[in-house]
Amino acid sequence: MNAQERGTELLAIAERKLRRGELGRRDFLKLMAAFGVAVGGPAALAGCGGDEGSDQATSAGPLRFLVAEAFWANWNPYGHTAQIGFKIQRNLFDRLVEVQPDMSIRPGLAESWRQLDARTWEFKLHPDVKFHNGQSFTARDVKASVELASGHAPEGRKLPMATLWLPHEVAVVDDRTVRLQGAKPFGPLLNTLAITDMCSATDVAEGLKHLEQKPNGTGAFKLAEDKPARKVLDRFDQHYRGPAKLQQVVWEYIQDPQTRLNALLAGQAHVIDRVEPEQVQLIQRSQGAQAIAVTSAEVQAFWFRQDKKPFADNAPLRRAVASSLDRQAMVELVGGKAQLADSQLATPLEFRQPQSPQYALDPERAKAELARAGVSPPVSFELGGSVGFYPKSREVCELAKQNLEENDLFKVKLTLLELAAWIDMLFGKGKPGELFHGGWGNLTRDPDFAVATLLHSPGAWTGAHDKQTDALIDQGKTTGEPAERGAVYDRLQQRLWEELPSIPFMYSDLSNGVSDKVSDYALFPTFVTEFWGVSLKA
Amino acid sequence: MAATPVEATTAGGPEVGRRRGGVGAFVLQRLLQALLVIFGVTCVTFFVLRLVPGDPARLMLPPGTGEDVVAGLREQLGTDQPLPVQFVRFLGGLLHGDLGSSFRQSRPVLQLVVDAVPATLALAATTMLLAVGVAIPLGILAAARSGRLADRSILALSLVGQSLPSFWIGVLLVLLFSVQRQWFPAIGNTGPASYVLPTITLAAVLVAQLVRTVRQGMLEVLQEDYIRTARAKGVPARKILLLHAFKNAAIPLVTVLGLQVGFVLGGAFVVELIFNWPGVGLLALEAIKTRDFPVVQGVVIVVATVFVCVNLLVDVVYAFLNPRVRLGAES
Repeated sequence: MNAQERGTELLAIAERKLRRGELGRRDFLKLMAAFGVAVGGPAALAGCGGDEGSDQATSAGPLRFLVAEAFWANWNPYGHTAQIGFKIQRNLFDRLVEVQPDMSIRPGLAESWRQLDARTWEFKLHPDVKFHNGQSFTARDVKASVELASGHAPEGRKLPMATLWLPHEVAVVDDRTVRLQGAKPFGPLLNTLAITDMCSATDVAEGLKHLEQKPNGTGAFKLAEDKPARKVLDRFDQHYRGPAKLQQVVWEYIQDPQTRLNALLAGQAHVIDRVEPEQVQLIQRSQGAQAIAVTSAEVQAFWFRQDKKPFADNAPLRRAVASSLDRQAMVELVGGKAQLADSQLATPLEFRQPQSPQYALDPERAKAELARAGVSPPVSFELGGSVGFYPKSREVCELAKQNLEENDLFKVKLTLLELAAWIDMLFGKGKPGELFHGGWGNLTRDPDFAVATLLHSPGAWTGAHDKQTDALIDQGKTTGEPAERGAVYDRLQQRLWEELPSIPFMYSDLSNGVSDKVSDYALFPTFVTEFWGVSLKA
Repeated sequence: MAATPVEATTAGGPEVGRRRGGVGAFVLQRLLQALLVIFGVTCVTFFVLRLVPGDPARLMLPPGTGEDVVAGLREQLGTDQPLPVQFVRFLGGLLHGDLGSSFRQSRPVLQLVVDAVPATLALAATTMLLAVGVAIPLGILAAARSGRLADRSILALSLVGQSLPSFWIGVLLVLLFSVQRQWFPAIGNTGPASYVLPTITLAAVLVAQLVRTVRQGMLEVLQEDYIRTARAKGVPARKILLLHAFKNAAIPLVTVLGLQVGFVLGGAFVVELIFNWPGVGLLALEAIKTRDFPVVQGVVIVVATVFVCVNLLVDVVYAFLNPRVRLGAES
């Protein structure tokens, strides 16, 4: 019996005596006070004594990773397109091929592959791969996963990830060989497979509800604890690349960037996600942690509503806006590894070519474009932006308004909203606003991901409807041969730069804070995180 | 004016029977008022949440998703129905103790709230304990040394405490005692040490307010005739202060403490964000961001119920302590 149990028993006896009148009320209160000191005192002292227990746990225990985005409750890897989902799934599932931090592709569950003709690919699978539930991974699982990803969902539901796929027929040649055949050649195939998590065919057959409940992948970690804001991942010892170096990784969602930073600096976290550029110097000056940064594959831009006046079908007017913005100053506002954009395709993307002119701040050119547009200044419109998501988005939008109004060419109504309200504005009835600040992240290095949703008609909320652009995007998607694809994307980038359905101004900075105890942690420009090769010093 | 021992003695007189009946009616009246308040809060929360821009279904899907898929999700969440229909459904669930399911977490709201409530209540309890433990001695000391250096110093400190916002105190404490010294954890609830900084942050403002209340109450009571009589009879000063004066000065403190529960629960939202404290504040903030209506409603109803219950309890205790309150209510 420990002290607390003894105390509780004593208290129960005292209570009985009090009821029977054998103990006075005053004596009972004294006893309770003594009990509080006896039991609570040591506990409080132990707690205040430098937090020894938790320090020890931190140094010898699991790696603690603090993320900036709330977890998704749905474990179906194709049931969402949330960045946090891709991040954690990277560790729970494997794919046929894998994207590397330099955006190149390496073999994953597929040991090798070959192209049989323009539409058909054959993949040879790695032997001895196991799912977390012990079941063996075979070509049947590839078939089920690819079909699920490309829109053949059970129960007739269309899954969000299906928007990234062109349907493919999957033929199981043998347990270790699988053939994918598309109705048309599919240029982004390998890159799409690099974000296509392999699920068990048995799980898929059980239905979507089953897939949503618990992840059962072949990944280097398996889910051990599933709470809304905390996920504990244990090492999967039978992983096909060998067991990970870390025994356990604890993922915790902390929405406030300052709180994440405090935890890192206090030694309570090993890696923190989405460090804001102004926090980088604080980390660098601290002892025991460092900041690492890359230019991400995310493009931040000002997006026009292309189906609404004054910008619909008026490229000169859009160019006048571009020539009125000081994009370089915006990049400097954000800082870090952010880069000035010179194409709709971010730097790590395949087939990217820098475009000209640079659309530097040039009021004379803006005036000339405005004259060509056939409108008289000032042109009035509403600029919508979000706060609390993209670093410095408020300052960027305010600078844009200031730039645009400086020479009396434009009159801008600036509307800044928190993220949910901003999304409502994008899709709102009556299409409020004419220009929006926002970003578009890319999950792979294939340019199709960058252009297919917002620049191809109907362009979701942008109202894109340029037939020439559509044709080039379709051609890029359905061209397999790399040189040919390169030529298509050259033409597409030129077209987009001239027509300016959006004004890209920056490839975003991506910074993480990492404790000095952590080794071999790499940043991916696609925002995913992999812990397989990471180690933690005691 | 506080109740004197002379008035208190009348409580045991021939009017006891009538007053006991009075207490029952008083409690019943307060209970009905409490239910009305909770219902009012529920209605306001439900409708205000839905007036705020932000479509939960749209937030859960990527930008390229077709309108048919978005409409399907709205149907699944029930947000496609007219507001009165949604409200009636919600009330129907509420009557059965069902707060609905979280849009984003796919879990029952009751479970999420019940998981988070203990952390918030524990923090609120330690805050109240610390605040009362510090404020009462300081308030008594200030009153006993009225106009002297100790009194002025305590008043100055309480003014500083009231002027500083909680988030500033919290961030400062974290920087000093977690980041620089690493004495206490910066985030989370990992044990007794985790309570220290959030409790001090929340209690700082509360202490400042309570010190002033205690001091004021004590100053008033110390002017009473029975205190003068006690002094004339040679009762020791310490006994006069702690037994005779504080007993009566504590009555307004009870009321203030009841009201401060609301302040502590409200303040917990900010403090929980700074310290990533896994309570209802953190749960509600995230739910507001993602327009997870059922979770926000659940949190507001639970917090409002706690607040109303505590105030009800305070009213009842106060009515027992000061019979004039319930007599006033009866008249």
